[in-house]
Amino acid sequence: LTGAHRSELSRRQLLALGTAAAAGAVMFTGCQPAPRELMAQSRVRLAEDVLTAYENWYATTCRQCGAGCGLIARVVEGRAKKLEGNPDHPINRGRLCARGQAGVQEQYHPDRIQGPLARRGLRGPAGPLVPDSWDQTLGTLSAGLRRIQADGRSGDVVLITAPLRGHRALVVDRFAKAYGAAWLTLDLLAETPLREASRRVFGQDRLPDFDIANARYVLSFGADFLGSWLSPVHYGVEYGRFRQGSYRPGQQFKPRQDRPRGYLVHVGPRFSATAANADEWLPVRPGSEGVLALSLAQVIVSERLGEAAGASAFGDAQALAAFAPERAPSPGSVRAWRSAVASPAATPTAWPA
Amino acid sequence: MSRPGLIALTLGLLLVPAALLSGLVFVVTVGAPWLLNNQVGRLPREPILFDHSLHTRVVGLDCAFCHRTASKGATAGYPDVEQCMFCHAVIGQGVPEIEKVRLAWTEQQPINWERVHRMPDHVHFVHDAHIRAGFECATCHGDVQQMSQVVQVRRLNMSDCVDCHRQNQAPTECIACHH
Repeated sequence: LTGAHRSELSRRQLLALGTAAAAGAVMFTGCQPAPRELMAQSRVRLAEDVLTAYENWYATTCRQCGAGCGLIARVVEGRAKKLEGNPDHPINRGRLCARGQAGVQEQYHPDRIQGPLARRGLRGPAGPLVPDSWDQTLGTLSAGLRRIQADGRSGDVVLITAPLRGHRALVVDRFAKAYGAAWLTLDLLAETPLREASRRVFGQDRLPDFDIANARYVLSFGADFLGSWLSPVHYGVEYGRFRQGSYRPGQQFKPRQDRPRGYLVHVGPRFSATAANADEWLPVRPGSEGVLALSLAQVIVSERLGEAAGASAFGDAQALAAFAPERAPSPGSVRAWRSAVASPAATPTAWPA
Repeated sequence: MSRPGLIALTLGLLLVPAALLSGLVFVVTVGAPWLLNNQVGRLPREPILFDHSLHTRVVGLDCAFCHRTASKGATAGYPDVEQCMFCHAVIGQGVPEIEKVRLAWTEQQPINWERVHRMPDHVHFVHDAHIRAGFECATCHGDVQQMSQVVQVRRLNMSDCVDCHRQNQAPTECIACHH
C-alpha cells in the first residue's frame, strides 16, 4: 500500500469513527430519561386554589348556631364565595337557613376581629382595645400564667372556651389539667334546661333528637322548632315529612295514604313561625307552660290514659291533684298568671292562686 | 492475498461490525433501560428526609391524605408545600428536617424530590383505574408503613404489569397501556 492509499483509508476510518460516535451519543442520550422524569415536585400552593375561573366545592360544617348543618362551600382562588347545604348531610339534607347562608359575610366582614386585642388601661371607654401581635399577646399571657403558677395559685385560673369536642377538647382539657386551672365552657345559645331534662328523664346528659318526621301528633311546649330552636333546618325538613305522611330514614320519601297528616299543637306566648304553622296554637303567659304541662299530666294519670310505668314517674297521683283543670283559675285571672311568671324557675306546686 | 486470507478478511470485516452493532442494539434497547429503570431497593437522595412510616403508621394518615389525586387521575400526586403547612405550621417546630419545609413555605419555593417510582417509557399508567379496581396502594408500592424512606419494591416493568394483568383478568391488549 502507498502512502496516498494509507491516508485515504485513515480519513475513511476517521469519518466512520466520527459517525459511529455521533450515532452512539445520540442513541445513548436517548436512553437517559429526561431530567424532569427523575424529579417530582411539591408545588408551593394547593393547585386547585391557585387556578382562576375554576371553582371547588369543599364540604364543611356550619358554625352559625349549635345545630352543625353540613355545608358545601364554593371556593374560587382560595376564597369562599358561597355556602350551600350539603345534600349528603343527615342533619340538613342540602338545605341551609338564612343565617347559614350569611356565614360567608362573617368570614370577610371588614369589622371582624382579625387578631388579638389588648386592653390598655382600665375597662371601659378609658381603656380601649388595641390590636396587638400574636407574639406579644402570647408572651404576655404565658408570662402571666407562669407568675400565677409560681405563686402557687394555679387553681385561681379559669379557662373559658366555647363548648369543644374531639381533639380541641382533648388539647384544652390536657392543658387545663396540667396547669391546674378550671375549664368552663360558655355557649350563648346553650339549651341547658333541656340537657338537664334529658339527663333526668333519659339518663343522658345531651340534647335529644326529636323524630318529628315519624310523629303523628306533636305537642310543642315553647319549642319554636321551625324558627330558631335547636336545629331549625333539620326540623324544617322533618316537619315537611311529618305533614305529608310516614318516612323511614334512608328511604326515598313517598307520601303514604294509610297514614294521616301529622297534627301540630304549639304552646307558647308568641306567634312564632311554629305557632303560625300549628293546627292549634295555645297562647300562654311566658313561663307558665310548665303548669299547663302538669295539668295535662294530671288528666293523663287520673284518667289512666297513659302507661302505668309513665304515671309512676310522677309519684303519688295526689301530688298532681293540685293541677287538675277544674282547679285552674279563670282565663281572666291576670293576677294568677302574673304569679306564675314571677317565679318561673321555681317548680310549680299548684295552679297559681 | 491467499484465498483463506481473503475469506478471513471478509468474515472479519462483516462479522465483527455486525457483532458490535447487535451488541450496541442490545445495550440500547434492553440493557440500558433495564439498568436505568431498575430502581428496586435504591435509596433516593431526597432534599428532606420525609418519614413515610411516621406519617402513616404512627400518625395514622391515609395515603390519600397527601397523595390526593390517586383515586381521581393518572398520577397519585405529591402534596403541595401548603398542605404540609396545614400541620407543620404548628407541629415539629425546631426539628431540622421540618424546618426545611417551613423554610420552603416562607420563601415560597417548591420542593424538588428525587422520584422513587418511575415507569418505563411509552407506558401510560393510570392510578385511579387501579384504585377503582380495588387494589391497595401496597400492592405495587409495598408496605410503606414500615418504610422510613420509601424504596421501590416491585420491578414495575412490562413483564411485572402483564403478569398481574393476567392474574386479575385485566386487559392485556397493547393499547391498554401503550397509548
